[in-house]
Amino acid sequence: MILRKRRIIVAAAIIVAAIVLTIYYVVDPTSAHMPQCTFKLITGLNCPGCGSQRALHALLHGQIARAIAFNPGALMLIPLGILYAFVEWTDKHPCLRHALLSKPAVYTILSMLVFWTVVRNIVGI
Amino acid sequence: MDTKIWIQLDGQRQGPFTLEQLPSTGIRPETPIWYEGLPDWTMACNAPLTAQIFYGGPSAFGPRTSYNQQQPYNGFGRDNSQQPMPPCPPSYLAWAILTTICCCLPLGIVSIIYSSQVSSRYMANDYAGAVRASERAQLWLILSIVCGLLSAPLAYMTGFTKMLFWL
Repeated sequence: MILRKRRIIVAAAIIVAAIVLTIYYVVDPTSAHMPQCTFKLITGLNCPGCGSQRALHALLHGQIARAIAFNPGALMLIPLGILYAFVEWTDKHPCLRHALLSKPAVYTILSMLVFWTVVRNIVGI
Repeated sequence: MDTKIWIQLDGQRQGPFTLEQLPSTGIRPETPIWYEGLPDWTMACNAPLTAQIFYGGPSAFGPRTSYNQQQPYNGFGRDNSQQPMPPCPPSYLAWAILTTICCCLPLGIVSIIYSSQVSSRYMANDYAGAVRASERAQLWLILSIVCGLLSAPLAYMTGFTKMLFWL
């Protein structure tokens, strides 16, 4: 039962991701009126997600170097997201799943996010 | 302990066994097992009674206090209760990370912190605590999405007016 519920959520997430990818393939975030970062508008600083729309668009068009230039931090989350979806879909690795969801793992991700935010504002990316 | 445990190996139901007999049956973490109190066939490493076979070592049937310290994910050491726990509540971790970088940074971080507690509390046999953490993670997740959605048109208009200002 719980596995089915998890699989429904993963399936819904995949569908939403497919829609989002289609949108970002067609639309170029720099030219069109796409959502903007409120954090940046209020504080002027880069949030960890800044540039991820442009990065996604570049990635979908095969320009990997440009995608990395826009937001390498967010791109590193993509394999993590795939791993997480895989672990939620199959029920064969409960130990891996609990390892991924455990406090040390989550705090690592969180501190990497914070670190990335600080670094990118210092360096200017 | 004389709880009767049934197992499914190679599609065949075998049993009942006692806990002490199980390791010699060749069961693996993903082998479905059932004993009275479980709602359904459960993987051996998920059911509280049998999970200790895989998280411990040869000392699994020794004194409880000896291996509890070394195994970070073994919460079944000190607690001797035989009550099986319901499945782990959702942690919303993926959504929390997504909203943190896309929607609302500060509220999303709160959601991530709560979702980190879900798994640790569940593995420490604290089901009630895990449920509380899961509910709080969900609450802050929704708050951060709402906050992000509400501030987006605001920011859009601010940006729009800034653009007009430049013109």
